[in-house]
Amino acid sequence: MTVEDNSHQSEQNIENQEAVHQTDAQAEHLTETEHEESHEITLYAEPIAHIGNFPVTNSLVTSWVAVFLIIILSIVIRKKTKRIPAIFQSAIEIVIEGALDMMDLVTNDRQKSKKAFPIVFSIFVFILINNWLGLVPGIGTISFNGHHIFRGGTADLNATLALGLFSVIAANIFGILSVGFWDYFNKFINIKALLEIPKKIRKEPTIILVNPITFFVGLIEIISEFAKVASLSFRLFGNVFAGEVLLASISAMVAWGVPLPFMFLELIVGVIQALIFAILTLVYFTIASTSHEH
Amino acid sequence: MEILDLFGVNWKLMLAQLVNFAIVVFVLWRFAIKPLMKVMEERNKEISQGLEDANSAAEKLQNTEKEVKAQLNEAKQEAMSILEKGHKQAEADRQTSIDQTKEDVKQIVEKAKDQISAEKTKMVQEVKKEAAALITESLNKILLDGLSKEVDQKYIKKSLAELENEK
Repeated sequence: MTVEDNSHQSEQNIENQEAVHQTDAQAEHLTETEHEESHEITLYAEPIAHIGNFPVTNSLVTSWVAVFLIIILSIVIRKKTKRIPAIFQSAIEIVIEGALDMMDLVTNDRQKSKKAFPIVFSIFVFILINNWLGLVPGIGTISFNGHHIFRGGTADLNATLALGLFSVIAANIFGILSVGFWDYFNKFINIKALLEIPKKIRKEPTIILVNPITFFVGLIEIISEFAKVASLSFRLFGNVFAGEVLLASISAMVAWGVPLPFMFLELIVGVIQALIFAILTLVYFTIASTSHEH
Repeated sequence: MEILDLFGVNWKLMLAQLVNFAIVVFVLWRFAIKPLMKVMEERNKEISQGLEDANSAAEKLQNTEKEVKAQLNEAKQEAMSILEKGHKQAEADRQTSIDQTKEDVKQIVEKAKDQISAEKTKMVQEVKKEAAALITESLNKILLDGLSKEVDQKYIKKSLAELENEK
C-alpha cells in the first residue's frame, strides 16, 4: 500500500493540478476496491487493536494461536507419556530421536546435542506451526473493519527478527558459558594475538604480519554476528511472506484448483525454512562453543 | 532506521513475540521433551539391563546344567561302586555260610557215626553176656535133669516155649 501510494504521490508531483485531482480520485477508488476484495498484502503486519499504546497485530494474534496449539500439544504429550509407548508416543519419540541424530551430524557430540536440543527443537516447532498456520484457509482472508484478523506469524519481520536476535544472542551466551569469557572475548577483539607478537617475534618474524590480520578477522566476526541476525530473520520472513503473496496472487487469478500445488509447495517451504532456521541456530551454537585455537 | 519502519518493526511487538517464544520453549521443555526423554532413557536402561539379565540367566542355566550332569555322573559312579561292594559282600557271606554248613554237616555225620559204632559194640557185649548166661543156665538145667532123650526133648521144647513166652 505504501509503495503504491508513494508512486502515486510522485506521479502527482510531476503532473499538473487538474490531473492531480483525477489521479487522486482514481487512487482512492483503487485502494477502496482493494480493501473490499482483500487482495492487498502489506509488508508489515496490520494492527487490529490497541491495548494502551501496544499495537496488537494480526501476526501477533496468529502467534498466540500457535503458542496455544503448542501448549495443548505439550499437555497431550505429557498426559500420554507412558513407559510402554502407544502409537502417538512412538511417533513423537521417532521425531525426537531423528532430530537428535540430525543434530549429532552438526555437533558430533551427543551431549552437546542434548544441551542445545530444547532451544533448537522449540525454534523448529514454533516456526513450523507459525508457517503452517499462515497457510490455513481463512487466515489472511477473514477481515474485520477492513483489517485482516490473521496473518502468518512468521510473515511479520517482528517475529523473525525477535527469533533471529534470540538465536544469535543465545549462541553467544552459550559460547561464553562453554569456552569462558576471556577466550570468547578474544574471538572478536583478539588481544591475545596482539600480545603474542613481542613474545614470538624472534622465533617467527612473520608473526608481525599474521597476527594483526588475525586481529582484524576478529573485528569482522563482530560484523558477521549482526549479519547472522539479518540473514536469519530476513530469510525466514522473505520466504514466508513471498509464499503468502504467491498464494494470494494465484488465488486472485484462478480461485479453483490451480493454487493447490502451490499450497503443497508452501507446506514444504514451511518445513524447510523452520529446519534451516533451527539448524543454523545449532550451527551458531556449535561454532560458539568450540574454542578458537585450532 | 527507515528500512525497519518499512517492515513495521516495533520493539514492543518483538518483545511480545519473544515472550511467545519463551512460553513455547518452557512449555515444550517442561511438559513434552523432558518427561519423554526421561522415559526414553529409562526404557533404554531397562532394555539393556534386561538383555544383560537374560545373558547372565542363560549362563547360569548352562552352569547349572553342567553341575547337574557332574553330580549325576558322580552319583552313578557311587551307586556302581556300592552295588559292586554289595555283590562282593554277598558272595563272601554265601561262601562262609556254605563252609559253615559243610563243617556242621561233617560234624553231625561224624557224631552219628561215633554213636552208631558205640551202640553197636555195646549191643554186641550185651548179646554176648546174655548168650553166656543163657548157655550157663541151659547147661545147668541139662546137667541137672539127666541126659535123657525125652527129657532133652521135653526140656528143649519147654525152654523154647519159655523163650517164646518171654518174648
